[in-house]
Amino acid sequence: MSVRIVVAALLAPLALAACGGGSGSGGPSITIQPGQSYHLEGFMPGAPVTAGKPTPLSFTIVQPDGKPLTAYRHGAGPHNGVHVIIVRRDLSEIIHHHPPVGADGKISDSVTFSKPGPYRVVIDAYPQNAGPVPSFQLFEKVDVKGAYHAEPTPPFKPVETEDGYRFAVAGKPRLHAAQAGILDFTVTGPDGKAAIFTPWFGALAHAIFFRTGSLDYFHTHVCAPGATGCASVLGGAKVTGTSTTPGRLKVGVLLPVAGTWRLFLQTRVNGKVVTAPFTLRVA
Amino acid sequence: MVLTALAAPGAAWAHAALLKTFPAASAEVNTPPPHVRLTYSEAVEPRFAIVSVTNAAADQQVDGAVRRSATNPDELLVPLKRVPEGWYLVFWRVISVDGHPVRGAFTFKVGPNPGPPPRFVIPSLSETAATPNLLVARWVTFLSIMAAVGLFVLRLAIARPLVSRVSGTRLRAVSIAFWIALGVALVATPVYVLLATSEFALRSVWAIGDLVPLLRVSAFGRGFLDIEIALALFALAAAAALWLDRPERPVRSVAALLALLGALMAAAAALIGPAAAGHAAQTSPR
Repeated sequence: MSVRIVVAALLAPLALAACGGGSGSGGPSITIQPGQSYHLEGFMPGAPVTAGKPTPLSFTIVQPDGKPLTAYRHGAGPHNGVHVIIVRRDLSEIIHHHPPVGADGKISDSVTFSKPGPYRVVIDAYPQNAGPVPSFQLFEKVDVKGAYHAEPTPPFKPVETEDGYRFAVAGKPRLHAAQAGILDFTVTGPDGKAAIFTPWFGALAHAIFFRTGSLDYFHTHVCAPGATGCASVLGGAKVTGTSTTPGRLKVGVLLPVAGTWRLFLQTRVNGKVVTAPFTLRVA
Repeated sequence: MVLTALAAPGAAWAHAALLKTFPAASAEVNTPPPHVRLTYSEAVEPRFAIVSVTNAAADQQVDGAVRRSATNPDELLVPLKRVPEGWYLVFWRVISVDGHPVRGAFTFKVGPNPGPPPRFVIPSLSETAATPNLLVARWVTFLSIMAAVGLFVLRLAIARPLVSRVSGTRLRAVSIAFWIALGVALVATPVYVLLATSEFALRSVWAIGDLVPLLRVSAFGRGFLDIEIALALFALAAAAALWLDRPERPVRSVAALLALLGALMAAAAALIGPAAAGHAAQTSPR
């Protein structure tokens, strides 16, 4: 009798262990569900396109909840709506558009690619209810039919002339990764007089930076005195430039990584948008 | 003593805390990190640690086993694949040296152009060790240890003098109850440790080959193995004491007294064990 009790008592915890075995998860791993994010839908062109003729370019930005993004920010400054910036892989060409947003959120544009080759499309979006992040970038690519001959990145030149406008940077820029710097530009028109800038999409000048090779993207703005919503933010630091006198542009530069960067300085002078490219070394 | 033993595990809060990470939480790095570094307030066991690093699409980026940093014992290194630009969710779960699971999550991004921040889904993973099975096993362990020691003392201090005075009474029933309680304690203690370790390490309790090596690396596991040893010594000493005991004789033999003393010391060790195996006694985690 007593032996049986002892045996039963000894076996009871084993039965308990058997119950515990059923709840074992089987392996030391966990399952993570995919996160939802802003993403592109219906990006066109979906196939290689032809150089030299207008190509329809369209897409819809879909919100994390799956609905198309229709409400973009509007207001003072350049941080509004959608910016479509397209560069050829060798950075020999840049296209910067501000296409309209349809009622259904579809964004339609027409782009003419001048040369064959691979292009990177940067879609810089400023949603109305963005939350903690004011803007985000989505990336796509477009292939233009034909043989791609990469053009070498030109060396730094202190003076670039575009459409008769002369852009001269003061001194040789000494730039370091993640350190803010200022580039001083003097812009003169074909008549030799100081250029008069008129705001274009909220800024006197747009400074668009692409890193050669990786095509990392960053941009800052040159703001009119007292302009609101014009400064760019990188890692919590505000970067901006100013222009208080005709013909002078102070461009704020804060590039995240070292390398060779191409700066596309875009201004509107006499109602015409002029883009001056510069090569910058960032140590 | 029993009250102290039961109160002590709840009284101390020495859980591991995540002090520092690389990449820092919510930070952007511009070069793909070769690993994620997690620095805790104590030397958590890498073999218990579960760390997941996923991109927005929930693809796992961890490339190899979590290991301890060679320079800092409180630091875990989680090797990563070469991660492209984007946002990453780090979800971690470690076991404090006191045996309690702790977990957390943070994000970091690889730039310069990480894209829009995703809405990550943080998994729900049990942070408490108090599953019903575990609670039952714990109480069976504690109660059987206490019952065994209690019955031994009862037999020694109350039943034995009674039997010698009242004729026709025997110690057999108390002895059987004592041996049953001790038998249960001897089985329940390792079962409880295995159950708890399987819960902590998120492994099946039947993966004993995986679990046994883990028992020795946590203060929790070591504490309960010590209890088991104390219980075994108690059983040996008690067996000797009961075998040598002659209640009908007026004076105990020296051998019986020595066995009795040994049994009582082992019993005390077994009672102190649960207090020392939990949150308390955190001076030397390794």
